[in-house]
Order: sequence, then C-alpha cells, then structure tokens
Amino acid sequence: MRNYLPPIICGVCGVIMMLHFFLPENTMLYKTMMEWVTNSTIVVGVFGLFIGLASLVHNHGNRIARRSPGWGYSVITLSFTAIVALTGIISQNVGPSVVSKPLEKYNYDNRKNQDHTLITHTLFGYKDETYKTNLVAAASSDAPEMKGEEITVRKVPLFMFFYNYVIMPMGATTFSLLAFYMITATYRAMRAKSWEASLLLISSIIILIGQVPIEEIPLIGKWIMGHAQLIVYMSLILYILYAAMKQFFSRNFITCGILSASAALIGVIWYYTPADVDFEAMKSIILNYPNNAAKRGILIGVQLGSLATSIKILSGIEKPYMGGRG
Amino acid sequence: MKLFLSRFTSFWKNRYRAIIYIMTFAFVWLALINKKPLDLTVSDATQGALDLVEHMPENHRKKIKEQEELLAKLQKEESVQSSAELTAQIDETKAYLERLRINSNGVFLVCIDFDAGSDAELGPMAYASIRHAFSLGIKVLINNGYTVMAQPLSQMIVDSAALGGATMPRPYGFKQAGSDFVFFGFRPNPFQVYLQMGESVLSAYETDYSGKALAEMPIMKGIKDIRDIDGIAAYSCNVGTPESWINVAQTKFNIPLVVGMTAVSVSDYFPYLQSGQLCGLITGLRGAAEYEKTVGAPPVANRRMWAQLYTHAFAIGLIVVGNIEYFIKGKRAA
Repeated sequence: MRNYLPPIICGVCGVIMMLHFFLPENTMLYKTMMEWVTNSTIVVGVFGLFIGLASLVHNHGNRIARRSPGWGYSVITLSFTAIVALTGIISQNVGPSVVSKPLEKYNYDNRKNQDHTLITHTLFGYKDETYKTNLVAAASSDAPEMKGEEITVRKVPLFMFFYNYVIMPMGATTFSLLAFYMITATYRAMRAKSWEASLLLISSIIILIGQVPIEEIPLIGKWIMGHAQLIVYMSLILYILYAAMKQFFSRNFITCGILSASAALIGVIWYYTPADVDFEAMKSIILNYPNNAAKRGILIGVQLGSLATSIKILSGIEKPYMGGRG
Repeated sequence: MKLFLSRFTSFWKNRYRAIIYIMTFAFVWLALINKKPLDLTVSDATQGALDLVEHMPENHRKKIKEQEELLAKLQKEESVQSSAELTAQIDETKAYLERLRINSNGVFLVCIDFDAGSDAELGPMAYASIRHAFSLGIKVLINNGYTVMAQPLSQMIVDSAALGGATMPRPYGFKQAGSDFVFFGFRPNPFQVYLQMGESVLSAYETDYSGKALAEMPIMKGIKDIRDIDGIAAYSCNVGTPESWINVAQTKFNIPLVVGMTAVSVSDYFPYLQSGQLCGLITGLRGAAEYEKTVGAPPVANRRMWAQLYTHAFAIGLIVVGNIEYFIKGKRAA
C-alpha cells in the first residue's frame, strides 16, 4: 500500500491539473475539480512552510549539538529566526519610538471635505527629506494622533523595525557585493582568447553601452560617443588584421586571405554607415534576434524535457516524491 | 623605465582586486553627486508597459460598452423567445456589467515578487506603475507571488504611492486601502492561487495583508474573478516566476500582461514579448527610469542610473585594459 498509494494520488492529481486546461469552464466538474485541487495544494503549501522551518531547526540544531565548524553561525541563524518570528507575532504597539512631524495638510473635496495630515519621520529623528520608509508609518493604520502642528512621538511595529533597518540593508548589501565580483570578472574573464570569446566580448560591450547613456558622462562622455564609430571599427579592423598576420606567419594563407577580406569588408561597411552609432538600436537587435533565437531553442528543449519528466512521474516510472523508495 | 614597469606590473598583479573594488566604490559614490536627471529615450518594450496602464480606462469603458450592447441584444432575443438559459445569461451579463461599472476606470493587478536585494532595481518600477495607475483613477490590487519576504516591502511601496498622491492633482488624490487599492499579501503555491483567482478572487484571498475581510471592502464589490482585472504587471527578480502569470493570466484568461525583471534576467523574456504574450517588458533600472520619466514620478531610478552609468563605463574600460594586457603579455605567457 505504501508503495502504490502515493503514485496513484500523484497520477490522479496530475491528470486533473492537465484536464482543467481542456474542460469547458462553466461545467460543475471543472469547478469542483479546480476548487478541490487548488485548495488542497494551497493547504499542502502551508505544510511546506512548516517543513522548511522544521528542516532549518533540525539542520542547524544538529550543527550546534555536534559543535561542527562554524556552529556559531547556526546559533545566530536560529536566534534571529525566533526573534523575527516573535516580532511578527507580538503587538503592533511594541517597538521603538520615532519622532513625527506634520508635513502637509491636504484637502480633497471628493472625500467629504476631510483634512488629512501627512507626517514624516525617521527612526533617529525628524528629517526634511522624506523617504518612502518614513511616509509608510504615516500611511499605516496605526498612524499617531496629531495634535495640531506639534511634533509627536509614535511607535513603529518591531517587525517593521527589523525589516527596515536589518533585513532590508542586509539583503541589499549581499546583492550589492555582486557588482564588485562582476566588475573584477569583466577584467579577468572577458578576453578575446578565441573567435567565439571575441563575439561574446563585442556583444557584451554593445549591451553595456546600450544600457546607459554614455554621452552623459561629464567631460569625456560626448567625446567618446563622438568617436565611438572610429573606436569600434578601428578596434575590429586592427584585431582582424592582427589575427590575419598570425595566420600569415603560420603559413595559413587561405585563412589569412579570408581574414584580410573581412577587415576590408568591415572598412567598406564603416564607410557606408551613418556617422552616429546608435548603440541602443544595436542592443535591441542583439536582444531581439540572436538572443531570442537562442532562448527559444533553450525554452523548447527545456519544455520538451519537462514534458517527458512529467509523463514519467505521472505514470509512476519515476517517484522522486518517495525519496528514492518504491 | 623598465624597472618602473616591472614594479608597476608586480604591484597591479598583487593588488588589482583591491584597486578595482575601491574604484567601483568610488564610482558609485561619485554618482551620488549628480542631481541632474539623465536624458533617456523610451524603448518599445517599456512603451508597451506604459500603454497598458495609460489605455486601461479607455479599454475598460470599451468593455462596458460591449457588455451593454450584448445585454441589449440578449434582452431583445428574450422578448422574442424566452428560455431559462437566456435568462441565466442575461443575469450573468447584468452582474458582470454592474461589477465593471463599480471600478469604472479599470482594475490593475501588480504582483510584487522581489525582496530587499532587488528593491533598488525593481522597487522604482513597481512604485512608478502603481502611481501611474492611481493618477488615472485605476483601482490597484497588489499581491506577492513566490517571495514571502516581499510582503512588508510591498506594503511600503503601495503605501508610499498611495500617500504620495496626496500632493498631486486629482484624480490621483489621497488613496485609501480598501476603496482604491488592496494588498492581498502572500499565499503558498502561487500557481494554484492564480488559477483559483480565475474562479474567485475571494476564495484565493479571504483577507488582505492586515487581516481585514476582503468581502467587506468597496473595491472588491467590483471584482469577482480574474476576468474583472484589466491588466497585470509582474515584477520579479527570479527567472521562472513570471511564467506562472504567462500560463494562467495570459494564455488561459487572455489578460494583458507586463513583466518587469532585473536587467541580468530580462533577456529570458524577450521571446515572450516578441510572440505577443507580453504587451510590455520593463528592463531593469533603465526600464524603471524610462517609466518614471514618462509618467512624471520622482526620479529615483533615474538618479540610480548614474551609478550604473559610471560602473558600466568602468567595466568597459577594464575589458579594454584586460585585453590590451592579454595581447601584450598574456599570449606570450600562454
């Protein structure tokens, strides 16, 4: 029974999910199936959250119990999991105080001539420059009672304090580190080591330039864009001539001839191209044609693969949900 | 000279990472000095996203007109020959028409599916599009797809857009939760939730994020299922998550869909744009800056573009330097 029941449930639910795309929508069967399946999967999803939490506690608990290397980090993880969960559960009126000050009075007659006072605040005192985080506290349902134009003190829910001043900066910091790694990677990895690498290099430079208005860089931006055509075409021609020269010394005269002809062709294209190089248009061409062609191929391949895997799972040939048993 | 070059090479080899990190940091800080908004041309992909919201009230009114014509036609048919099926169809059309008239400028669903890490890039586009919808008197629904931690962030974005409107001319005005917008929050298994929205929004979400019953909210009187929504925008930092909306909202229910992605992942969605499954695609910070410039939102993304501009220029410079170094020294070493 343990071996047969899970594949039967999986197969039946899978077929129902497939059928709903083909059944007429107004039928009772469709509505019942949809309601039952969707409600069930949402409930199962909630269990999934608990399993995730249990797994986190189990793994990190084990690391602490065994004093595995880096167990101190597990203590921090578990402590903060508990703290953040608790701050979400406890009352909204518990939290640090902030200073609020009326920002503006707004009268809008389409809402029964009510006056609404907007306030601004920061955790560390009043600031003239408002930021969305500050405005939020004013907008939330527990906005403080304003006494005329006076500065008042209110509480920010503890969870929002953790979210705004701990989780948000940490998340942003972790993601920002990528910028530094990527910049060094451009220096180390993006080199014209082969013909394919050169293509990648050229297209990435076009995308990088096309994504930002380079001409806006103070002092040198306009000069760069004014000479962009010269820089791009000269670099290309010099690179191809360099490759042709290498082939010449290696006595590969045919390749050398092809490369030299390519350099000459690029020179001709350069002659007939308009003076302004539109990198944004070039970026669009790369994204809309070669990128789409490659992505479509990948997408179709992935979907065919997932279709084959789905059929194997629905028919019970593969049972990943049984943890390798059965 | 030779000694100097040798020392410089050795110095650069040992410390190039630290130098590049410091220079990147300096470029980001340099960007903070610039107050002038960048002059950007709006791409077709962003224009599509703008048009969806811009034409929503007009399209909604067209929808109302179509339903009115359908109702008149059905009533005429009923006067000639009455049947239970026809009566049921008339009742259904009347109910639908009533719902359409409640939210007379249209309903826009914004799915916020990113956390703090991507807020710098995706936050401004979500803010600008919600603000754009508010400025046109469109009712806004906000939900979270796959990211639980997007909930407080979404609350902040929508509250600031709602409150920020108080200083703007009508019909923007001050927007109130429950009558002008509602934030549903997160539900597990988003794909199933979206499917269930096709049946009934109230069965997918019974309360809003703060726990208030949706059935009692004025905005929900005009929304029964996903067909009452005039357009959807999915802002996500994870590749693969907007596909749920493409499968359910666009393919199954034929609702216009816009996707906003981080620039690094956006190339995956150009095939959907080209095939017409997406009517717009907002591409990272650049797309957000284009959007907010067009709708006149505060230039948050536009100012951040300065940092992107300097670091992109720096990256190009490093590529050039790296290749020169490779041709002079690297090949010989290889």
